[in-house]
Amino acid sequence: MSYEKVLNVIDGMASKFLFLEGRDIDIPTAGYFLNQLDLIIKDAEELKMDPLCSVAKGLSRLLEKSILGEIKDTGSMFTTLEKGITTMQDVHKSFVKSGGYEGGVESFMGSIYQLTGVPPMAESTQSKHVPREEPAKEPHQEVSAEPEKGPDKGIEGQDESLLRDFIVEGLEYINEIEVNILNLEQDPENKEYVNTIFRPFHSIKGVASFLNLEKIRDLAHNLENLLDKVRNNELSVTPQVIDIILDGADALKAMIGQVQDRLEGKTSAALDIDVPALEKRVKNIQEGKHEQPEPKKIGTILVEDGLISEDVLEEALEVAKISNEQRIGEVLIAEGKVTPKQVSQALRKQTSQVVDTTSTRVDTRKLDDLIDMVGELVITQSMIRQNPIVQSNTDRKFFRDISQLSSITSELQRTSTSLRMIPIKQTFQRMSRLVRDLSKSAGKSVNVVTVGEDTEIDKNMVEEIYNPLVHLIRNAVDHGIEVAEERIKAGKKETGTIQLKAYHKGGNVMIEISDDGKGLHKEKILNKAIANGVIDSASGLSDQDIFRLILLPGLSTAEKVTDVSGRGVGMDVVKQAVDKLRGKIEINSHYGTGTTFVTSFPLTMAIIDGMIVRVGREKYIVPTTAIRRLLRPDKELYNSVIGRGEIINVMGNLLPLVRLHDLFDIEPDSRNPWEATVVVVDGENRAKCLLVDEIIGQEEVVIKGLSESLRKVKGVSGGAILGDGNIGLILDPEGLFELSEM
Amino acid sequence: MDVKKIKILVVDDFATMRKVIRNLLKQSGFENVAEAEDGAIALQTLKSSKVDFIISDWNMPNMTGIELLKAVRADNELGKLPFLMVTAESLKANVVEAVKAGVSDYIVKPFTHEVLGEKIDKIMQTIK
Repeated sequence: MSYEKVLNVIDGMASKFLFLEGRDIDIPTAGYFLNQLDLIIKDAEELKMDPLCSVAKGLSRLLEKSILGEIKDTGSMFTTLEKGITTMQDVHKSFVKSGGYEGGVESFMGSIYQLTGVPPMAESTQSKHVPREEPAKEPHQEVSAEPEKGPDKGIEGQDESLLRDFIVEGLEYINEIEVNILNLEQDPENKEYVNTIFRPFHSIKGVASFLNLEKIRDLAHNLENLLDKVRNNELSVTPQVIDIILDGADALKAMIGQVQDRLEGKTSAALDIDVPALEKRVKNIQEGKHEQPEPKKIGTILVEDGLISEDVLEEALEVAKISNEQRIGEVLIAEGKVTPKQVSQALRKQTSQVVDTTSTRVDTRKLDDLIDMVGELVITQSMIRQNPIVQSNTDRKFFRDISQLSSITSELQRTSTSLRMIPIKQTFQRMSRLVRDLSKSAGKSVNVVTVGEDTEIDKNMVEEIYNPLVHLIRNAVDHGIEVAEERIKAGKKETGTIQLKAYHKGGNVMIEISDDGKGLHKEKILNKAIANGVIDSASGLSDQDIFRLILLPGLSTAEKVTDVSGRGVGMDVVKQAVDKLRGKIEINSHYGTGTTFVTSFPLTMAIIDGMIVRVGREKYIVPTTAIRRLLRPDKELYNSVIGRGEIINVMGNLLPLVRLHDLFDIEPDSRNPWEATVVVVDGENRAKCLLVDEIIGQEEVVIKGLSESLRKVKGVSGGAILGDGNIGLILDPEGLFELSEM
Repeated sequence: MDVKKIKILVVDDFATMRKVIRNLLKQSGFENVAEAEDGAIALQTLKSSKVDFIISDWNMPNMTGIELLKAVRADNELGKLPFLMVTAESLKANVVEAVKAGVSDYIVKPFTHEVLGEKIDKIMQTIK
């Protein structure tokens, strides 16, 4: 680095300046000057030529402002630039001579300040942000010079095809946003995802502004700004940010829908989304005002804990408002409604909501790997324990150490599984929102009560259980809860209640959805079921059995069941989804007072309860939930029917026989069903008999996914290491059925 | 060369936006328009056919406008090609970066065909 090199740069600028044609700095020239100034600033900093540095920075600022069209007085801008270049030459000359500059640059900096409005001290940061906050006047003038077109007018003429394109493309883009936002939620640090969401908003805004769709433009603009902050690391991706982006996308979708309606000459339904409120939320988040940290009110906590009723709370709130001095807790204590201890507990709960910083984000994949490895460890450990050499060892210390090892490994397994567990709270919150939306559109008043929000469930399960549960909730709102008049007539409170409840039971998480609606009508379900040939008669059926009928496909088409039981829109779909997750579903109902769906899901999808079966020398795992019955049929019950294959009569049902040894090409011990074992398994809506040699036992196994190339293999859904160290494949009944039909 | 006959490449990932710009160009008398949906595709087009003028959006997948600009400026043959950057009001602060990278001019969305036409005419004059 040398004085000479800097001088070359400055002189280069001076000669460029001399040969400028007019008194106007065009963009390419400004670019050239800016690049040169960057060089000068860099060198001047290294050479500690402070005055030179400030002048160069001042000129950069001036040029940046001029590029952005924010300098009105172009004449004095031009002369200032000239003055700046000569000042730099002077400063440089003086430095070469005496190693300093006596002239002082303050007055020059002052003139720059006058032009740019940026004080010399607030340099780089300001120049980047100021332009955003005070938008330049120029482009606005350009816009207003054009005759104002109302959005309705814009729909005429050639713009119509543009609008149509915009609608199609805009909706596509919003879908893209919705897909990517889920990715972002899982991987909040990934800037690529932010970009893929930012871009569509940006594009929608751009086109909307050309088409004079102001509301869409403004909302997209706000969201884009929000995402820009995320991109620049000024804002982190919190659930609130995700929520608001989703809400924003919803709103945009609705607004584009309105445009479409208008285009088709339909009167569009009024938007039931409060756009200004949404925009305000966006702004709040941007300014770092978090939505959530507004903790639950003490009163709400007390109501949720069932210590006081809402009526009492309201009364107490009134009192507290009037007296002004007393806080709600004090009022309640004074009234004798709660004890001081209960209030202090509630207060503690309230603070624990706010201060929850003791968590760390970890990539789910890492977590999955960890849990997988721990699973392996547990199995290896048990293999070692069962090893004959170990078993025959009589050393007591060795024995103690081995049992110590196994207790540590099982503790390790328990802890690592719990890592992936998250409270069901978020799911419940989403559902509460759903109920609100649904009840509003159904014109009903429904209150949601949640119990056991802190119940934990495997993160991977959360998404999976969401859809079936949503279906149940939808049914509860649509068909369970009655409209207000009906409820009053039946002597119930006008507002219906839907309770979401979660708790652990055994190795399962139970989720109950109850409503206090009209309940299921047993006789009507029975009649319909008999009429449809689903069952022959009602004899021997418990209430439970009858209610379960609504889960059958034959009874669950909408128009048939809605008027029969008030239930059942796609209930078979719910059943299937729950089955797929190896869950169970139970229905309790009293006609007139309400219905409760009790669903139970395994805590994790990583472990499966399986029946180990043997065919020849191979062992397979059949998911226990799919097994209906095990039997060794009498010879008479076996038939071979031409055109239908082999059939076994199981309790009066003729079920096809699937020979596992044929499918997997194994030499079995026996080919005759009456000498082997038959496993009756359920597929999707059908059952068949699997022919195996022997049942070995029941075992909980850790599921291992198959590698990519094997994933398409039919009939096998995964693999597992069995307790004895051998590998067993997990059978997929429906896949086997399909195989057997090929 | 008749300025109105120049071939203009419009680069934007949003098809409707390309159509909007194409319409505005038509209103200003520019009929010879090609389109590309991101910087990478634009670069291919530039290499395979003769283009006189680029109008590019900033924010695009695969290759952004600024990346395209830098690639064009770094290319021996394309180096001097007029390049008009389309930017949004909210992202104007980025413009400085584009100017340093050698953009010919920029234009803020939304714009009218008059402004667009003026900008193009002005840029074309300086390169003659």
